[in-house]
Amino acid sequence: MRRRESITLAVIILIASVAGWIVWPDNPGIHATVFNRDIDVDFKVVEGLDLQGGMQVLLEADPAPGQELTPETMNAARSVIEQRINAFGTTEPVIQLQGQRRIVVEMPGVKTPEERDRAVKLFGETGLLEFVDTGSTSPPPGRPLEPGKYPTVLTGKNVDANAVSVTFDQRNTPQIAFGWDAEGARTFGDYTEKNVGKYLTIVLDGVVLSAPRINSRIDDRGVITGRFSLAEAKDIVTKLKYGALPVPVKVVQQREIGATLGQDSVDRSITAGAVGLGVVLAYMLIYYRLPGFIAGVALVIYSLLTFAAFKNPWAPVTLTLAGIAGFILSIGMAVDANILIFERMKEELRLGRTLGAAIEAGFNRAWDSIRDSNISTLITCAILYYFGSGLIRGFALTLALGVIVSLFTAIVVTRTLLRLLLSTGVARMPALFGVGGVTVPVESAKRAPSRPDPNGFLPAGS
Amino acid sequence: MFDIIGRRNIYFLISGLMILPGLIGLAIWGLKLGIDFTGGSLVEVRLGSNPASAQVRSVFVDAGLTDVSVITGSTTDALGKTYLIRTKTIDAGTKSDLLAKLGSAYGPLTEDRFESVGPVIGRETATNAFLAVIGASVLILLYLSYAFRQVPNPWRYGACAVFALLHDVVLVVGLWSILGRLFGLEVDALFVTAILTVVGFSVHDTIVVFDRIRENVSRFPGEMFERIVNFSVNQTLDRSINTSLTVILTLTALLLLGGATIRGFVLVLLVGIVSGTYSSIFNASCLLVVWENGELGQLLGRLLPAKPVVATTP
Repeated sequence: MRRRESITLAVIILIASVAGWIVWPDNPGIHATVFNRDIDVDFKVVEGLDLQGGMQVLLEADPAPGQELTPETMNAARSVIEQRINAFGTTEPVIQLQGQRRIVVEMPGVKTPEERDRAVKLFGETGLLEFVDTGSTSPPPGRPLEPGKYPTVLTGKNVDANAVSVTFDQRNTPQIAFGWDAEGARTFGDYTEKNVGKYLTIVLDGVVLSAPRINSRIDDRGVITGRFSLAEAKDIVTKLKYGALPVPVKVVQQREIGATLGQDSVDRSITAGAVGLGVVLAYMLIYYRLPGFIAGVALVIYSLLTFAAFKNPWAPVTLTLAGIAGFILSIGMAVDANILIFERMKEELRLGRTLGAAIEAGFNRAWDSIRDSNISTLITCAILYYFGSGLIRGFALTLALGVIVSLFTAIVVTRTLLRLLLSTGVARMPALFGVGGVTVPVESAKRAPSRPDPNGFLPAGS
Repeated sequence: MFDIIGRRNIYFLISGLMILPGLIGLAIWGLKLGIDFTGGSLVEVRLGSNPASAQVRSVFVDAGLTDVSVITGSTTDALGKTYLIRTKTIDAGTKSDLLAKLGSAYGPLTEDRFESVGPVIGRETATNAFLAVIGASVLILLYLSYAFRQVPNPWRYGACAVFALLHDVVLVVGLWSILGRLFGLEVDALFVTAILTVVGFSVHDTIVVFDRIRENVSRFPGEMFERIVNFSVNQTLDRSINTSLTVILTLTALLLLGGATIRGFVLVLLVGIVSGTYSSIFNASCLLVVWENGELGQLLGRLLPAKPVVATTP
């Protein structure tokens, strides 16, 4: 019996130490090479936009009449947007499909109004590049080209993504170099040979970029000139490289949060969490004495484990303000299992059971309540996760995680510590368990006079 | 031992009196819905020259926007006073133009937040919130009917737990209607989260009491149900109060020390959890007794204040 508890205790200490190490703010992560395999693991808190500031955009597919919207289309749109954002160069963007026709984009790195305006343009345009035969007319750049008036020779589909880049002309003006794939090169070569002296207009999403004159046959390489700024040229290159969006999207929701607002909220919430934890610890200690102290130890381990789970490198929990609130709330709820057990233990002690028997009975009898009540909380979390979006999901996830971890700490950790303490003989005074009126945990029954006794609570004939 | 079940009519009456003002508030004012539900845009800025809110508003109205409201924040720091501006849905471009105007008139301007929710999304959020409360209630009813399958009429336990949780939801929503009227508190997505958490907590609390009833019913066969319930409620009283107290302590810390952005959220939780504790001690179990005694029909009549309350306990 004691031997088993000692092993459990060793496991608990090990788990708690690992969790403590992960939670440590300056955790370096694991970077090593074992058996020729590189291990690169970082333990980081992923902060939601409300904490670190940034921009969140909800996009909705806006298919052209008759266009079918399949999961494949949405996946393709998602990866195009992801590539564009990666090329845009912002830190830790998150791009996720939501439902059947929406994409959520979070860009914590986008903070200035200029960046926001540029970022929004990444989604607003589908990136359809056309090479249009405008005959002997040269439409002015920057203006929309009347749709359907001129025949399209080639589209961006045939552009060789590896050959697209920003280059500079002699006056250091940015221009865009591009190249064709085999099919594009054939078509382009034939066309340019037949149309020397005419104008080939390059159109992006219906707007003229430039309308150069064809001087000679061009096969597989070309340059688009125009009045681009460097940033514009880069964004156009991004679009050409990663192709057109398979379906147009529109912005249906947008949130921009300044970083200062976030930092202030984090600091305040952390203070609040620490104070809340401290008050609960003090309350448990005063009310339940020795078991309260052990519940406090379990609660500290609980906090370490939960926070370590947030920082797990495989599926890190995005920490939002609501999530922190969920975590702090779960501290209060985590103690509940212990309160249920301790109240049950007190009852058993008052019925005159020995400490050992009371502890075991407390755990066994409280289990039904703990299981049923926690399952109902998990049901609520599942519903929240299913119906909610970003912010709410974070809350549901942290609360559910807290409930699961608390089952381990409140039951396994507390029980092991109590059993071990009991076997050392330190814990033989009922006063340490907050039970007044009972002096010694003797085998004979001795009741607290003012308390109800199940065997006598229903006098016959009343 | 407290005679809680015997005085059930008093506790039903107290619940009624607590809920009534909120219901009246809901009937008269309804809820003040935030842009999460209605759609619209919200801009939060700080302006260095601290203009009056009417001056800020006129910049937006002059640009042709309707339904513009401006609230000034309570704090002023080195970058100026905080202004919360709400309008119908505008896109990022329009916002940039407006803020440029605002900045040149009353700047320097610091943009802290911009949120824009399309009307379709708003309607969806509202529908989802409604479905979430219904869905959670139904699943909890099913789960409890299963968990209590060994006692007679198990689904009555589920129904009473759901009744208690709806009691808490109605109380909090009603209170919010009054607070919305008095302090401009809005119903947003976070509010729905808070309501659902209250739902979870309320059921959590009720289940602990019901579990005791289940245990005692099998321990004392042949005993009057009413007395078993009263005994069970008393047995779990310490635990109910202690658990609620620890949650209330952590939430109070969050309310007093946490950021202003989640204050409304924490307040909903706090009120809901106090109500949840009350309803699981005084309402859920009492209702179960009323139902098991077959008095459900009489109860409605008895709740009318005109009739004198007659206790039925022997």
